[in-house]
Amino acid sequence: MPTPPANPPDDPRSDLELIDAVNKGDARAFEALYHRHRDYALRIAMRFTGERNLALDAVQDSFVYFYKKFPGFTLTAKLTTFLYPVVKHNALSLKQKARRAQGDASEEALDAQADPAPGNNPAEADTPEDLHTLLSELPDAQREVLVMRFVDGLSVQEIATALGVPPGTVKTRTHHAIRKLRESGQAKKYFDQ
Amino acid sequence: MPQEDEQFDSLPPAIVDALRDLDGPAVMPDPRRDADVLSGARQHLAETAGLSRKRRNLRLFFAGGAGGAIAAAAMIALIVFIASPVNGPQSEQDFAANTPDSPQSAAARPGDLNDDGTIDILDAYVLAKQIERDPSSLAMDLNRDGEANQRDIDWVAQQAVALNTGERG
Repeated sequence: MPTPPANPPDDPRSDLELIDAVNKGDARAFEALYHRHRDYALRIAMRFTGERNLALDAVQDSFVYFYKKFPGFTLTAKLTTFLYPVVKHNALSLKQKARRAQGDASEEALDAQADPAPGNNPAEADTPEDLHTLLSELPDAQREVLVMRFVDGLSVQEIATALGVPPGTVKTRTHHAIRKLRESGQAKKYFDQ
Repeated sequence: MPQEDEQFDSLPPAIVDALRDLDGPAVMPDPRRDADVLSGARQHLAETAGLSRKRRNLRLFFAGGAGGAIAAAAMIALIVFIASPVNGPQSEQDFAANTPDSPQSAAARPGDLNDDGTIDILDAYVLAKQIERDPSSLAMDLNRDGEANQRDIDWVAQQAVALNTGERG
């Protein structure tokens, strides 16, 4: 496996300070923001496209959208919560275009790529297959908040901001998802441990 | 429901790992795309730098009180524009005809009560005030119907809005 290209050392300035600098025309500050958040954006894009090239396209489009916001961009929440809906929208839109371009015949193949089968991934060798199936069967909106909360480590408020829904909705979706998992035969044992 | 919140606030590590697996393998960034994005950003920021400076200068300009001065100047210009005779003298002949000392003045412009060279809504206002003060005065009977009343005011108003086609007067 090829080694990833080395990123420049992270800029000590906060996102807010970097954004302030970009608003004044500092391209290096934008570069620092890009390298700081690119991998997060790629992970989100991959989550929604399931395909590397589409994910890379979605991230590229998202950062182009982002830099065109300057000068005059104001950050009202965390940058990750700004980027999340942008990347998600671009990823889903590109996935849809790819589906249309390839026609319905190959839709199943794309679906298989978008939702990687647990058994096909070597990293999942130690994870029970039924758990993956169970998580895949959760409604998209419920699975999304679980991933954002427990994988991305976002707070309820940050998830609410990123998804554009009230915090109560995030809590409800989380509760429903976890209740389903707790009540299911396959996942119950993990809660009882 | 703090107890329930706590109950739903964490997930067993195995489930978190399974959720992470759903994301698929980590995507290796593409240096060419990185370069494209960053060069695009540099170009955009260079292009908009001048615009940004102009916006900043404009903000400083307005913050420095110039905005108030401009607004006052605009207001004065507007007042002068409104008060200036729209159908004022256009030639030396017109000017002579509308000079107060000119014998043609009152006869040529019977509705020009404030004697500013034009018949406008201000004349209708002056007439209304004069009729209100002395309704019996036939000097304000501009339409020559034997009475000084609302019809005279209407007549002046009609003169004020009539097209200047040379037929008026």
